[in-house]
Amino acid sequence: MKLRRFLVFLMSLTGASAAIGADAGLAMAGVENPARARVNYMLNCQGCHGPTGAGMANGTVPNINGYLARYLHVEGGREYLVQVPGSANAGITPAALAEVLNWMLATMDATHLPSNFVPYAADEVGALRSRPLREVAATRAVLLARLADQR
Amino acid sequence: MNSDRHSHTGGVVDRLTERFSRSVASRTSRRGLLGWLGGAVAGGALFPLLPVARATDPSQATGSIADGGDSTSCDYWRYCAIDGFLCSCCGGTVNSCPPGTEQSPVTWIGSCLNPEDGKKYIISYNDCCGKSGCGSCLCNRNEGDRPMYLPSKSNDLNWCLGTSSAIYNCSTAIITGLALPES
Amino acid sequence: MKPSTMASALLMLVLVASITTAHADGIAEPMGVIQQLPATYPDHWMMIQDVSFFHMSEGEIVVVDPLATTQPAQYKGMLTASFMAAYQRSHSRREHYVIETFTARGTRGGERTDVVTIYDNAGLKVQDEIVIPAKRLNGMPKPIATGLSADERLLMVYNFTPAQSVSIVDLEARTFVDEVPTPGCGFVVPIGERSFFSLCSNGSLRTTHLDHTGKPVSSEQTDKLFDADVDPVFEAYGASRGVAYFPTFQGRVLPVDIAGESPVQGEPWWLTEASERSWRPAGIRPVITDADGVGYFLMQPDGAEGTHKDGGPEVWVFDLKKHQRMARLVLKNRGLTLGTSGGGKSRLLAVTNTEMKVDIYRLPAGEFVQTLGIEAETPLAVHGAN
Repeated sequence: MKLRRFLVFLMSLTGASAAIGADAGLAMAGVENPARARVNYMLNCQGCHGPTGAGMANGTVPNINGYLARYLHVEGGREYLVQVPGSANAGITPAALAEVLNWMLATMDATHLPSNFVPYAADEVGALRSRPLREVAATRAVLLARLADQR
Repeated sequence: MNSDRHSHTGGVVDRLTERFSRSVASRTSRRGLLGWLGGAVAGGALFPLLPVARATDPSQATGSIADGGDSTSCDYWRYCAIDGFLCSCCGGTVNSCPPGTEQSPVTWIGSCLNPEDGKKYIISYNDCCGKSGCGSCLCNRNEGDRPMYLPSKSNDLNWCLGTSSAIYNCSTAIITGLALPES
Repeated sequence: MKPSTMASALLMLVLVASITTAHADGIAEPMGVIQQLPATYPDHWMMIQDVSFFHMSEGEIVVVDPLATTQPAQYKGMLTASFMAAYQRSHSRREHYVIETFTARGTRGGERTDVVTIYDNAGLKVQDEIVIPAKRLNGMPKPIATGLSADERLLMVYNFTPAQSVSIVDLEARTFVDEVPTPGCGFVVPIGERSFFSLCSNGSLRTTHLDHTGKPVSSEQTDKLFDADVDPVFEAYGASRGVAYFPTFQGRVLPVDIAGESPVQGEPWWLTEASERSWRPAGIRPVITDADGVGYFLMQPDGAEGTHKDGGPEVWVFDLKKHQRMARLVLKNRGLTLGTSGGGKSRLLAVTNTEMKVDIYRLPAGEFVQTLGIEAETPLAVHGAN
């Protein structure tokens, strides 16, 4: 499974089309069209998060590569990934946002993806993003503390 | 200029002033100031148009993409949402920074139509930082540019963030992928 | 008296005598004379900001009398304004505030320090310097990158790292107070007595309420008022009679009541008839207003995707209450950004044109006065004296 995810990531980096992915049977959960997801990532997220999710070396934009899916392991984390303003405010439809999030989780942090992961769906994302977080730093601090407790 | 005050120096001051004005004008008046007007009115390049596409430079190879055009000209297709000095005119290339500068990891993203293959490409406009403004080939085009409160689509910002130096030198236009037909 | 002191005293005497003698000749001029400006500037004066796009660390703000007829008479003095600085001024304290960025190694960087530099009106001398977080927005000069509370005590500075926040400065106590995160939202529009709102990327407004000293107390967020992708508001507004008027890219006006501590959205209206929608506002600051409910919008005839910074050849004059166009002023030279000074019958319009010169017009009729002689590289912001 890990290898498959890695292959999908490689393909998405090289701009391989969804058709090829489908042909090879390398579907990502909740990602109908990986090429579309990647384009939406590039247009709406990459400016700050960088092409691989590495962010900024000084931590102003945190490195989410190899970390992102850890949020799914703590209470409130699943909601946070949608409600954080960069995500909630992106100018794309709820379905497209759900697809980008599923794509990011699969390509940037498959290692930490829970085995029982249920992909984000459009209606869930639509409902969550209508209530964007105002106190982001405080919410994030709580989640990071929960993550630290888990270790 | 107040001619009375300078009459005792004859024409020297006038000539110097005129020359200075002209040099400022040549630096800013054509592409520079037209740059502030946007690409729509772009007639010619600040520098003579080079007949050979700079894309033949291996450092800016873009695989199999048909990518002719003059990357030192503001009219070049990849610059549809750029704002700043073209690195191609500053010792770098369309997708690399000048010697001794540092490239910002965070940036703004646009998408531009390549006239040669009719496809839209996603362009990352990474700034090069660590030396003062290059000053050559000022170019400002704003297709898809949005206000700064939508930062990932705004070219009005100095994106020399996350670099060791905050000083802006020039801007690149790096292809990061093919846009979707509908996007 | 020690011998050395004695010698100094003698020397001083000789010097004073020689100066007095020279003065008595009536030829030698006094040295060390430095000009002063009036502590209260005439209403029509302007501060013309050269952001110096080609030499960003050498920006400057020139104090100008725009009605003087020669360049030497127009130029009153200058403030330095490093690295795409922002600017505010206090009428009650008669001070200028330059919100600027320095780096330890100047042209090549080094440790960055952001400061609010305080100058007095009369001497244009640095009175104080308040260090703020080295996060202030470096970018094109947008008028809402900073704001001043109604009582002129608190200065708000928009930060972008790219995380977004606002630094609060107490200008009376001369101290940095706090940094307020504004995730997903940028810029500052001061409202009421002790609040400001920011423009959010989902088209809503996020309001931060401050206490008397500038500490954040609470925040709230409106519903979506505009579509930031399809028809965003410019990073500029004109305020008149307690309402802020934001033009949008496509040519609507979004009025927001800013008299109270929470913004209240008004009904958006169009600057254009349905048949003339290709006319759109454009420019760095495409709107100014006066206190009498009149708005002036810089307009271009060929509006389309990507033309919102191109400026335009006309200024359209609107009754902001009735949403009615009162006049179309055809500019002598295409304009890129607007500024204004003065009030009542002596209001002036400043238009930075595409040749990087500043044209002066008299309002409300829009009669052309002159093109200023001030030499500037990129004078992309004009601030009024009062």
